[in-house]
Amino acid sequence: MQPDSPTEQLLQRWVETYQPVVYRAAYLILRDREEAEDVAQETFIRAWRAAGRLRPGDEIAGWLYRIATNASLNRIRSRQRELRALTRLGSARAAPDDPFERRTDRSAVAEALDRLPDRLRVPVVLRYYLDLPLEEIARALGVRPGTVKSRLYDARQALAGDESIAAVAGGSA
Amino acid sequence: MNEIDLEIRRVLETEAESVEVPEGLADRTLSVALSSEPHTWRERVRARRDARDLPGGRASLPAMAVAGAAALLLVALFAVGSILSSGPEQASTLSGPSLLSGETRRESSTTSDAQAPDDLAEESSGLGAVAAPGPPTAPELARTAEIELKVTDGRFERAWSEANEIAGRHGGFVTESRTETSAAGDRIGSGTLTARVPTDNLDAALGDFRSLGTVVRQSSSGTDVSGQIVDLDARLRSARSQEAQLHELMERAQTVADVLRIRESLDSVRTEIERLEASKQGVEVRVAYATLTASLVEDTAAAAGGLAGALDTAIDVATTILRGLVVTLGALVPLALLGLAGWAVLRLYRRRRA
Repeated sequence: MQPDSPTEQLLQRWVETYQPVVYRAAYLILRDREEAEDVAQETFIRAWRAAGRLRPGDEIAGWLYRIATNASLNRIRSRQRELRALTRLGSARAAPDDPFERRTDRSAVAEALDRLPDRLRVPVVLRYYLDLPLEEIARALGVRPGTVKSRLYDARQALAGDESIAAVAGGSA
Repeated sequence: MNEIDLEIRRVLETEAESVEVPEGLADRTLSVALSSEPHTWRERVRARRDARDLPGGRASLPAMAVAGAAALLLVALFAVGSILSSGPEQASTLSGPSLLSGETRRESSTTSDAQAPDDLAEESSGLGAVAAPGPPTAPELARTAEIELKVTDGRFERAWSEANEIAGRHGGFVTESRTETSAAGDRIGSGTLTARVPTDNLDAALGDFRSLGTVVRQSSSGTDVSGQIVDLDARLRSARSQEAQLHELMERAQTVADVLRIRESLDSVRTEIERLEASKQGVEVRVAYATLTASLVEDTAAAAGGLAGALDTAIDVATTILRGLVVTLGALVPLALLGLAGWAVLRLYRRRRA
């Protein structure tokens, strides 16, 4: 479908400019290509539906990243609910085995980041990959900036304590 | 930023760059975004919430206060309405077709559109007129309905048997059926069944259920799955296009390594296509066949008041007495025989003495 009106062309520009970043950020958060694709679609559909209230000069990137973060967090919560339900039924199973994720050339640091719980990995991705300031991350997560700072600290401590990271970073915390 | 921070950033960027954006994602996204409008009230609320999240878009304090007061008023009205509408009269009002309460969520969302023209005007003023949507298409609704009935005492088994035949009569089928014994433990007293019925026949099936007893509760709802179908269609088109391209590449492959690599991609795409087709089929079945849950309970409390109930009770009592007599006589027979034998022995003894 080719956009006709200027507003549709604007949406197309948003998608072309930001969707790759949104997709990759969602992938780093969710570690699942299918869910990352869903988030990448949902972000722009929701942005389009709310776009009528945009004003000239509004900062788009941060807004899109907030929507993407919200969509990703919803999926994390769904996963947790499903896992709790399956655990109660006694049929909990491992996460789906995505063959794309079983690369053997991933670094130890990447593996350590994978081991971080969602609570810590999400702010790490928002801070270090999307370069969002603390206030933006706090707004996206619905917590105070102090809480974000604390989680980032915990994440860095967890990674610094990981032997592989310590070896890479020369042992500095 | 120290070395740990730099390393984290480097790793994330490397991981991100190694992830290829799915081909056709942008086209699919544009296709879905430009062809769909928020239909359910949940989507509208979310759109408003996302808009409030714009820089400087937070609602002002007076507006928030008004919104909060309006929400409290709605909750109070709902509570009063629930209190006033509860009670035995509800059974009779539920039997009419006007109270298919959730039918449908789309109707209530249409009502809210009519009542909030300001929002529409505001949304269209931001970027100039939002492009007009295409010709309206009927939404694809996945319908569900629940009905709970009280059946006259003594007639439950017949009603239950008929309940299990209703779905078949309307071109559907029962997927689950379970019963429980009555409090007395002597017969089936309640049952619940789940059936799938062609959506067009759902109302007729519900009518048949209503004739089995007194309706205690009835509700139905519809979930708009149009967006899911559009999205699945878009993904399928993209995946099939990718498959066709891979087949063309396979024709031109020169080396065994290329062939193997393309083969692996083809297998992956084919798996994805089959998964999407199965998902789409599942959604289409949900639209074609509504889910109906019916619960039947025997109304033992009503038995005492009616003539039929009195007769049943009399028969029960008489049966109980008869059973008691038979048991007593049965217990007395051996004693009687023993007594007779004893009397016969005594008489013989006396005659000999005489």
